[in-house]
Amino acid sequence: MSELAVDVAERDDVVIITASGVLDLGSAAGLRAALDAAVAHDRPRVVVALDAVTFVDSTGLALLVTGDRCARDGGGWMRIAGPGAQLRRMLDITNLDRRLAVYDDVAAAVQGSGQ
Amino acid sequence: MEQEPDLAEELRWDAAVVDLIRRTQLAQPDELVAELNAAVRPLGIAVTVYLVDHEQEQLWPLPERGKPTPPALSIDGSLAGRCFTGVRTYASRDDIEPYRLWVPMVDGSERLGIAEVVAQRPPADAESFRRRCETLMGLLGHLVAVKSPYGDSLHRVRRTRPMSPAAELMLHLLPPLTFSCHRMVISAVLEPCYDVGGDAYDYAVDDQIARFMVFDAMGRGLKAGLTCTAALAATRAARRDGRDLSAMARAADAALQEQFADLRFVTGVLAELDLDTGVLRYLNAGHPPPILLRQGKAVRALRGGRRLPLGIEDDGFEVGAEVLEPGDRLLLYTDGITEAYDRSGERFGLDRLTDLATQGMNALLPAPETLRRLAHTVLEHQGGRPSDDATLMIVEWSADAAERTQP
Repeated sequence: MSELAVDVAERDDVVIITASGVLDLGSAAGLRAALDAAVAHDRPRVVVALDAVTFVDSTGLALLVTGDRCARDGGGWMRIAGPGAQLRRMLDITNLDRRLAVYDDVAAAVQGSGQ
Repeated sequence: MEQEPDLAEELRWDAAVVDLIRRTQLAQPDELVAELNAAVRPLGIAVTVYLVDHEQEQLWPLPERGKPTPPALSIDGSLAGRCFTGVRTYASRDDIEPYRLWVPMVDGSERLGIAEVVAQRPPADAESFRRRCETLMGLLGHLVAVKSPYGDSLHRVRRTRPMSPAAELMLHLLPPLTFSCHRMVISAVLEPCYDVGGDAYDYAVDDQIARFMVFDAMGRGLKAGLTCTAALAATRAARRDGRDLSAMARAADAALQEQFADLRFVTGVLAELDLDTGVLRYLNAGHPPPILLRQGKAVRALRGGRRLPLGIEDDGFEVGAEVLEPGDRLLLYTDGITEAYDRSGERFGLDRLTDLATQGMNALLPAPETLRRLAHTVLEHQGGRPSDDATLMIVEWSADAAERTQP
């Protein structure tokens, strides 16, 4: 059974969700709950830090797309920080790097620079 | 010296074919072989029919009432297996009694199994006898395909394990594994065949246009299966409504968004090849790019036509285009092939895939045989325990390749 640890912090009105482990069908529930809560209000500003996530499957990817969509619908944004090589490859193949905002690290994601 | 055609013999065979057609009109699927043998008895032959299992490893006899059922035959390492894999007829040695032929049984070009034809005495004209047996087994292949939906017995023979609900659902939505016409071959394989859910393929050849697609739905099991069937059904309905590739993709977007409350996406390649001009048009909805094979080598990945996965609407893309040369082949796959890991964590990878595909083609294997071997190699790589669905499709724009899928 895959495991994903999820930690939520807030910095300058930005919710920073940090996940570590494997994000897949079996482990997505914690991140889904954290994302749902983060985008549940007006103009959400959310960074999902994934540098400690070693593997993301298609269910995990759908979770990120859903989070992005909800954030946009609420007039805010969701940004991904520090994706690993596997997630980058997946974002490239699926073309979802065109839809999702991806940054090298949390600082860049919070600022929204150097995408 | 050329032999005189034996008209009386020709007429006897014609009569047997007509008799077989008449007898099977009201036959149940499980009665097919008995009717066949009743029809060919006047010819002095007896036939045992074997169907291939879904994993394409063994050939299983169709039971016939009142006769002992012979054991299954392994495809690898047997003459019967060579008959199946090469789609070629093999005769026993002339000096062995009784005279015996192994004849491929295809439904058009779909390999369904083989038939063992035993003759009471060696035929006077072995060449004519072989051709007649091949024609007869071609008809039987059609009859097996036609009768299959009306009972479970022909399905049961092909299964060595129960199908998962997702695989059962998908199996009846997919077209046959292989279709050849005069100018091309389309062939596909799907693994794990008893447990597949989220992968699918589709094709249709009309006028001079061959349309073909592969799909890979997110997730696993029946949930992924339902997602994938929604995308497949939507694109097929749009295609049959005469809509183009982009509209087919939009139909899938709409179906996935309407049917499911949560986000479901399906990656895939939708393509159409003009068999007159070689112009290939394609779109790639977040899927690994198709590989172009030319003159026995992988020349490049087709990286155009990129849009977001089906289920996430995308208006900002252009359909990709490529002009194929006669004899070109396309290899389409899902990441369950390339992302198959062995025990030590090594990926199967794209290089291994293209190497094996080109090897098979350069050895002039029938396309479905190249795919059968590739699928087995991928399964072996994973120690027989696949972690994801895996699909492969080969499209060969070649009359010679089409010929190789026929006896």
